[in-house]
Amino acid sequence: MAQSNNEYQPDPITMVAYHRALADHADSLKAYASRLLGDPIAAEDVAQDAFLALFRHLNQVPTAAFRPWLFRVARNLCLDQLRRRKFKMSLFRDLQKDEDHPFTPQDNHNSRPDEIAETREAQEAIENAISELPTKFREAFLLCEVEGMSYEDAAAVMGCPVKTVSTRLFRARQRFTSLVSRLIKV
Amino acid sequence: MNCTTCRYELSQCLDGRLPSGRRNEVMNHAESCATCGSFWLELQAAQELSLSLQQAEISPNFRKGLWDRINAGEGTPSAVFQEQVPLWSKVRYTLSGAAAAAALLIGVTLLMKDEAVTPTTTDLAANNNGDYSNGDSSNGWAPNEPLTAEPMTADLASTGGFGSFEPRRQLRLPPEMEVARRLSTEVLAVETAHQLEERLASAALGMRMMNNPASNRASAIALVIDSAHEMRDFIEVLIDLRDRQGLTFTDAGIDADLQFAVTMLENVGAMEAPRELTVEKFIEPVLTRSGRLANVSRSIRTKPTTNIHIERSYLLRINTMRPEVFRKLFRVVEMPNQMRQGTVFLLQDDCDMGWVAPMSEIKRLNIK
Repeated sequence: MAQSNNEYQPDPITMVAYHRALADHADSLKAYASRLLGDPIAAEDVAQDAFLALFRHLNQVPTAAFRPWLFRVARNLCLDQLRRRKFKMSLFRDLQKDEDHPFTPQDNHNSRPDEIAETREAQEAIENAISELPTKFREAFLLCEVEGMSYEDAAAVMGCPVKTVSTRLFRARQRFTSLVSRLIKV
Repeated sequence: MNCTTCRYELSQCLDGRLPSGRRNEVMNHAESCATCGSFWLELQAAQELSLSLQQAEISPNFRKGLWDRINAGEGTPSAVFQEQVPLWSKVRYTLSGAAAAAALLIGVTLLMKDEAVTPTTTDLAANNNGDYSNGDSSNGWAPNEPLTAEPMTADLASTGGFGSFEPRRQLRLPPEMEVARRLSTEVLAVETAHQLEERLASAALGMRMMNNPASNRASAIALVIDSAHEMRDFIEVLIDLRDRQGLTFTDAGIDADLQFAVTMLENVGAMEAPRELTVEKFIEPVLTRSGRLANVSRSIRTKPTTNIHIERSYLLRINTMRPEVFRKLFRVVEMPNQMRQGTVFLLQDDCDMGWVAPMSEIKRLNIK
């Protein structure tokens, strides 16, 4: 069931902050949702839903908390979708991997074809490694390692103590490191 | 320093989370230990790899679509604030509710047979509920009528007993009022501890059922695992309170027990192990070591608040970020001039520091 809050009119300063958040966080929110869901199209819907929710609750969310609030909302939406479409998702994921290459870098036309292929392969290996992490570890990894969020904000997003974020991140890094070991040249 | 600690702290080093003194110690160890040194280099290389990931970009129609939806007055999707409850939990709650209702019905029937019945708070609440239907259609309270917040039990003596009880205006308050208190760090901590104790007891019951051949083993395992999930939620709140709000425990061993429990329970659901093995490996050790946690509410001490704004901001943050936990801890009760019955503490409804009725008290008094 959806609720609406049409009566509330945000003040101009809050609207500026909202537009700023839209410019700053929409891409990263989509990326986060996409890596949780494995589906860039659904991820864009999640990002839009999160910004819609933020607009409806602008009077309740301090501007400084926009970012963790948006990620928290996106997380709830993603987990909801994952629960609802657990089986369906696994079918779609393989198709997207073949067709969309959502996170491979844009091909550099100055590079040689073999270099482009190598880069794409490496990116896919990294994406696969992330997708193989258990959801809780993946969340910590995406928020702290990929999005560069502080432990405190990540704790607010994940709804757990800071210490837990630190532990999950450590475990996620351990697994990620072993999964991408062939790409690491130490 | 052992290697396990060193590796964990190296991960924190990578994010600049260690104080310089500690960082030096960790780095010294990493330099002298080949395994940890190699782990440090791998961590850095893995971070470089993850930072090389291409950022997704929103489509050109993203903003237009968003503003179209905003202008069309579309509301917030309900999943934004709601976490799904597993099917088994729903069944379990329904069965528990049905069993409680049946027990209540039997109890009331037995009481009705006895003429010399002593009135109880539950009886009073039942009478009180009956009175709601005479007044305002939503909660039985007409907004213009004066209200007092006297405790219901104070009026009990004057009613003369169950049979001759006549509702009075003072009694037309929601039953939650009797146990309502202003939300504070201490109230949050104590109620979280009560709920943790309750879940520990449920998990222990599940373990006993597992060992009883006459019980349904699958149901017992589900009870243990569901309780473990909730235990972890409550423990995390307590740890968070301890970290940020100066909550302390009079028994020094509780800190270690909480940390041990959360570390073990983290694995419940995270590992793809069979449920029975999960119980044996991660939950049973927690229950075996739960002597102190079973009475954690008696060991809680909170420091007096020096800045009410910081405390409110913290409580608001926990409420908005963890509404699913708050729903298990409290029911919101608004004070007389704005009273609404049974409001659930949710972001989209109530976001201020209102009056709350702890769930343990509601359960104790059998308030619906």
